[in-house]
Amino acid sequence: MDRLSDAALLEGWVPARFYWREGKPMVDWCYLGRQRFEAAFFEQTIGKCMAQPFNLLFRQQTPIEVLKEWHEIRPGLRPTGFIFHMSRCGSTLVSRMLTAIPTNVVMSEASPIDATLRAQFNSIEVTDDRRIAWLHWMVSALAQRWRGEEQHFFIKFDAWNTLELPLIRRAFPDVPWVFVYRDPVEIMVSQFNQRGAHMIPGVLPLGLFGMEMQTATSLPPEEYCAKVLAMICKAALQHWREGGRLINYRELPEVVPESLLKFFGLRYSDRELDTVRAAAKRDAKNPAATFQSDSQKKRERATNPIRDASDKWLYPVYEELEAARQTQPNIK
Amino acid sequence: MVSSFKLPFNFDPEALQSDLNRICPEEWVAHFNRDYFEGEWTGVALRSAGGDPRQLYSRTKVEFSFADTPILQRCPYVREILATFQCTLQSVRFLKLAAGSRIREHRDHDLGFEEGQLRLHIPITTNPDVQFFLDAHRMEFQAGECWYLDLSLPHWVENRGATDRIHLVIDCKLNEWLRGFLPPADSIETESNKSDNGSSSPEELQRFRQMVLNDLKLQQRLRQTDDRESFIRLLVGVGRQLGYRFTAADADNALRAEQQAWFERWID
Repeated sequence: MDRLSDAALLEGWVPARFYWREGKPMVDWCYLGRQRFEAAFFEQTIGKCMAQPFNLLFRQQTPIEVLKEWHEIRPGLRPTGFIFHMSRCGSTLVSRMLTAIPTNVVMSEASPIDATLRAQFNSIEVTDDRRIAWLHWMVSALAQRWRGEEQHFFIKFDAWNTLELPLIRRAFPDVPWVFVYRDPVEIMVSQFNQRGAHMIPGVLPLGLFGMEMQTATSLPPEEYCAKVLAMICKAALQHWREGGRLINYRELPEVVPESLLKFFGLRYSDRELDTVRAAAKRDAKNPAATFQSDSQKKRERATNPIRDASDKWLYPVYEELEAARQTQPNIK
Repeated sequence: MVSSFKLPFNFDPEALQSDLNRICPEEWVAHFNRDYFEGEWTGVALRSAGGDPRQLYSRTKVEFSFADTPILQRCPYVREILATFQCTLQSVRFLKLAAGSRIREHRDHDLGFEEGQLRLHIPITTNPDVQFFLDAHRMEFQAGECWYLDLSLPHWVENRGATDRIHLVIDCKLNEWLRGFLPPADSIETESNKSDNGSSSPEELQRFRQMVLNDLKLQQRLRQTDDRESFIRLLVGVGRQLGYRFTAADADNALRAEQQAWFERWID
């Protein structure tokens, strides 16, 4: 489909993927119907859809311009709040708690959003203005009322998208956002247990982190990871006064019902708040297990190179985040 | 093998209804397959393992054999119907899918012609908004009819109407008497095995896929099943109806290729 001949053709379809074909930005749409985005991650919901034979054979593939047409017809919900984070710091717990309210939707680490944000690495013709327009269209296609009852829409970005804060702020200047962070050694231990995409040189375009391949691969892995995580923290620290709020992992889960919901402008009854608290009792990435802070365990498992790299690159900026957090006004 | 067949019996829905009226509301018990349904799916056993009227489970452990339950004594017309069947009867139940309830898609693997075990459905009360899909094909039943259904194929039921749907469901052993009423095995060519004999043409499937992407009604029809085999049968069948000649093998290959492409989507 090159043009949207009939708006009804995209009713119930969700952008599952943003990619480039023969130098042109394209969107793959998958039929979602009246499902709820309730899995911990966007890809899990899409993966479930793609397991259905219909969705394998029938995917709408459109140039990005169709997103614009769709945006004009169905703008979707305006985002209520954004979640940025360092990774492995409790951000999934935050999104799980938000999702406990049935009228909330959290788009959690949705690859079409991430791919839109890094489109400048696919073509030099992609200016910031282009990316902002595409981001608007993409977000509005994701922020549809899938079940009809949705009222508030949140995006939990990928950790490295924090570096795009200035651009995201330009696109959505009124949307409040939080940055979730955690004691560096604990994050490093978790990452070295199983590394995320931003922790392995070359999985993401190195330009994101302003590094050359040679520099990246010549660094010891602990140093590389600590440097990337520090960049993410610095970006948050630089912009937090512009509509942001800092949350330390240690404040979870109580900070969510106590202040984060209010920060996002949401008011809930005591009963609803109980539902939010109950969601924290489950492990966010593995709902069968109970959520428990594992800080002590993680610290004990830190190797010397992890400690050294954290001391060198991460603790200074972590201390700055902590100092900034103390100056935040209380939310009543 | 044929997936459904209407047997040449017509029973009296009103007489069945008057048997139903002899059952108290509290005698209906919830169906044991709680994972399969939403809403209210209940039943009353007229014959069951051990003769317990609350035993809806249609199979039996070795220590129990099938016996009439006390409730059957109250249902003279059902007794008359059962006497028609010159074959070994196993479980006999009234099954009720209440208004607004739904049985999710599933297969009953131990039922089917090949197992020598047959399930017959006799609708008693139904409404036009009951959707019964067997192997992605919508079945239309009238009260009093008698249907053989191959429930080892994927099936789901949704009662979107305002009244309850009640069937008399009879499980019996296949014998020569019963076989005489059924079409000979392999006599009915299904849409998919017919086209398998034709020539393969992936291009036709490709054109069909393009057409479907612009047709909301067809999309809805093709989403009736999540079961891969039954989806392929449906796809080939709908394609043929509209003059697209591709085979089940073409559809299977296309599904495999798409699955592969989807798994490898991050590799540029």
